[in-house]
Formats: sequence, structure tokens, C-alpha cells
Amino acid sequence: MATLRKDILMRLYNSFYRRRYRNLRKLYSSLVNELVVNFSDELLEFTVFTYALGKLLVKPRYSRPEYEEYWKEILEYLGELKDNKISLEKASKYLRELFLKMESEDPRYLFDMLTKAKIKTAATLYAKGVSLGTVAGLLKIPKEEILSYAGKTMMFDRVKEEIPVKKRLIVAEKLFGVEGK
Amino acid sequence: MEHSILCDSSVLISLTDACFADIFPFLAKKTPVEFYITPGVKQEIINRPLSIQMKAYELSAVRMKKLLKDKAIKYIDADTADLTKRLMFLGNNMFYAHGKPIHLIDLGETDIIATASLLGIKALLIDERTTRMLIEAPFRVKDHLEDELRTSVSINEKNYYEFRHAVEGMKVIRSIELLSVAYELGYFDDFGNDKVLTFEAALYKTKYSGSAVQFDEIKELLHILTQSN
Repeated sequence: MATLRKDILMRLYNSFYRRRYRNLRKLYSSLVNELVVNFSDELLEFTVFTYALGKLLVKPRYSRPEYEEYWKEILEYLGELKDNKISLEKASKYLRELFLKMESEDPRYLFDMLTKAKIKTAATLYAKGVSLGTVAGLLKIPKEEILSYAGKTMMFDRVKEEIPVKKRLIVAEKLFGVEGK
Repeated sequence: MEHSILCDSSVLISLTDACFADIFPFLAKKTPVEFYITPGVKQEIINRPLSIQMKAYELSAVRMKKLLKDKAIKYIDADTADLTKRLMFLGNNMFYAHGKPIHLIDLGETDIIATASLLGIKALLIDERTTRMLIEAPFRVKDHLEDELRTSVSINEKNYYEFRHAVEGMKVIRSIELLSVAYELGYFDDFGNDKVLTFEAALYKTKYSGSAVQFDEIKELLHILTQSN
């Protein structure tokens, strides 16, 4: 059964209670780090929901009074999770059901956002050092989707390459029998 | 197999997505190099998209199927099961965080290394960053994991050295090096005065299609290859 560190659960609860979008973003990054070391489907789903919660918080539409009851319910689940009264799996299940209820008339926005959140999580795992094939297999997302997203970020520019590109070119030229410049 | 290159799916995906699938027949015709793919790569980039009708990727799959049919890319097989299993164990039990092994590589990526090792193929065409770094500079993988996870990462030295021995002598090239060699051999000559511009655009396109290259590397390649043009 997947579990999360107590400090992460506390931070999650407090960030959501105080509607701190930035804190939720940082927490999302911590959750992805947890995924690298302790991958589970439950933790993945919870990580995606954390990202989604952060996105919803900044949307003016979801600040309207008709959504207040949903926020209270989410906070309740997060509270039960941090107090160890429900499991991560149960919490993810409740959140999933709640999201569907929130947009029962037109679920396209949320569905779209959750799909994009999953691709972003996949690309972030790849950026952190897990191989493309491993990420694609664990998250059940085609490599093409992950590459397409990752290629448009700066993730590859953050890591210093061991072999200079000039040396790589020489190796390639030698292999193909090309006389270099 | 001195002039053989074993191709990973990541490069084929990047180049096909960027509409450069024809670079393979071009280079196969102009040079002594032969491009190979394993059964696992064929399954992944051709069979699977076509069998389950993944419409978004069918065109790429059909293009690559044609490359195989025209023998611009060839199919190669080896009895890799045992070595793949061993290399997967080594790769996924090389680095530890919080006392737990970090699962880094999967079956497909390891199978390519195993195939290359068993058949004596020294050149690999891989855009995927983690596998490439494990072959070229595993300590960089450790440093990178520590930076990203913000925690200490330890190495199992026994597994590290055994893995290093298996990949000894292997050289990895990426899609931008392939495009660069093709440029030198006239691949972009049909564009006339726009040859350099097209080459530059091709490099950036493969980056945006997911090839693990840096902007500085592209600039440096352009400087090396086009400064006299």
C-alpha cells in the first residue's frame, strides 16, 4: 500500500487550506521526486490531482460560491489523509469522484487538464533522470507524447553534457567515413 | 560489424516526427554504414501503432515500415534475454536514494545495449538521455539525480563496474550528429542558397521533437559546419 511522508501531507493540507497556489506547485515537485524513488499508481494519481488542484485554485470560475462546498470536501479528505484516517488510494478515489461531480455538466476542461497533468508528470520524471521507456511504461503514455512535450521545455538544457558536441561530431564523421572540417 | 549502427526508438521517433525519415536511405546509399533495429524497437514503433490503430502515430509507423521494406533500416535479432535481464538488474540497482534502488531503465532500452554487446556493435543511435548517460557517464547520472531529488544518491559499485564493462567501447550518436553528417554529404543541397538555413531549421526541429540536445550544442554545430558557407 502506497504511503506519503507526513510532512508532505501536512504541507499539502496547509497549502490548500490557505489557497497557496505557489506552495502547491512546489509540493507537486516534491511528489514527483517521491515518484522517482517510490513509484506507485496511487501516488501517481495523487500527484496528478495535486497539480490539478493548484490549477483550479487560480481559476476565477472555481472561486464562485457554488464551488465552495467542493473545496470544503477536498479539504476534509486532505485532513483525513494527513491524520492517517484514510489511505492514499481512498483519498485519490474520493478526489477523482469529486472532480467528476464538479464538472458534471461539461467535464471536458477537467479531463483535458488531468490528461495534460499526466503528460507533464511524465516529462518531469524523464527530466529528473528516469528513462523515457520506463516513464512511458509506468504512466502508460506513448513515448511520442512525452518527447513532444519535453522537446518544448528547457529540460535538456539544464544538464551539462559529458561529451562536447565537437567530439561527438568527429565520432559520427569517422563512423560514416566523412572528412570533417 | 564495423559500420553498423543500432538504432533506438527515440531517434526514429524524433527524426520521423521532424519529417527526416529519408535521412536513412540517403546515408545508407552514400556511406558504408548499415542501420539496424531490434525486434523490440520494431514492435514499438511499427507493429504496435499499426495493430492498435494509434491514429496519431500511424503515419510515422508506415514511414518506418517502408524504411524496413526498402532496407534503409535492417532488422537484427540476437538471443539477448539473459544479458538484458542482467543489465536491467544492474542499471536499476546502480543508484540508491533513501536506501532504495532507483528504477531508471526499461526492457527496450536495455535490450539495445544487450544486442550491441552480443553482436559486437559499437555504435548506437540514441536520443534518449538516461540510457545515453548510463553508457557515456554514469557518474553524471548520479550527480543529476542528486540535484533533482535534493538528496544524497549512493552507488552500488559492484553493479556499476559490471555495467561499465558491458558497455565498454560503445559510442553513442544522436539525431543532430546524424543530420550534421548528412549535411556534410549534401543532404540539404537541394535547398540551394537556403541549404544552411534548412540545416539550422532541421536541428531545431529535432530538438523540439524531443531529441535531448541543448541550444548551445546546436549553435556550436552550426558554427563548426557552416562558418565557411
